[in-house]
Amino acid sequence: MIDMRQLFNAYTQLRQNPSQFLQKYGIPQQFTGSSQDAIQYLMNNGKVSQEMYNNANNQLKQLQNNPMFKQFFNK
Amino acid sequence: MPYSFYQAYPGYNPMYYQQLQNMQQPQQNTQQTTQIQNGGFVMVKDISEALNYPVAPGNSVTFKNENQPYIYTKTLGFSQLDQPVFETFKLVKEERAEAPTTASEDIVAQFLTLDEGNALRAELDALKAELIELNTELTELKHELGDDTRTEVSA
Repeated sequence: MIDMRQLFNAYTQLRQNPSQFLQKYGIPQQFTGSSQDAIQYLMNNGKVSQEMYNNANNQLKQLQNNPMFKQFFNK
Repeated sequence: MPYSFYQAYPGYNPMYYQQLQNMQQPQQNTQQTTQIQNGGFVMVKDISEALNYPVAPGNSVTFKNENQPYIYTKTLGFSQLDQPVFETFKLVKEERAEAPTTASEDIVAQFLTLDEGNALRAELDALKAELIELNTELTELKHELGDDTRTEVSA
């Protein structure tokens, strides 16, 4: 089960300073320009597998289609 | 501007915290079903989503366009220096194969069954035997006729 409080804390840090947040988790600065670069770095280094990313992407899509999620984030 | 996705969702209100927790559980329950329905395809809204989809080295991802009849594949070699190979396939609907037509039935009817072939062979053998018998009788008759002629002549 995901710890939602930790998730929101991480989310807030990511919003405030994305590059710093990603560097904190070991991603070199040159890969922190975009989320695309960051995830590609993690996949190239085998820290994130294709299956892990596919599952995460799938969960995110489901979450984005959830009416309550839309109500929450579209305010 | 980087991270536009995250910035599209400005700050959260703690009063929604519980609501989000509540909806987390049903999401997990439906996840397995959705994955099975996808059948290994990653559903995308358009080609650009497939083009920008991250692919790990030595992997290939297949995408299905949700709005148009297209399939895409994005493959990355084992070397990080390789450029990803992106291919597009258009899906063409194929009508269901029709039931066997009378023409094909006629073709089938032109072939003999084994029983029919055996019956014909037996009939042919009988005719051959009858022909040989008739030929023998004819030869005998000729001989008899020749003998009779000789008899008459000699008489």
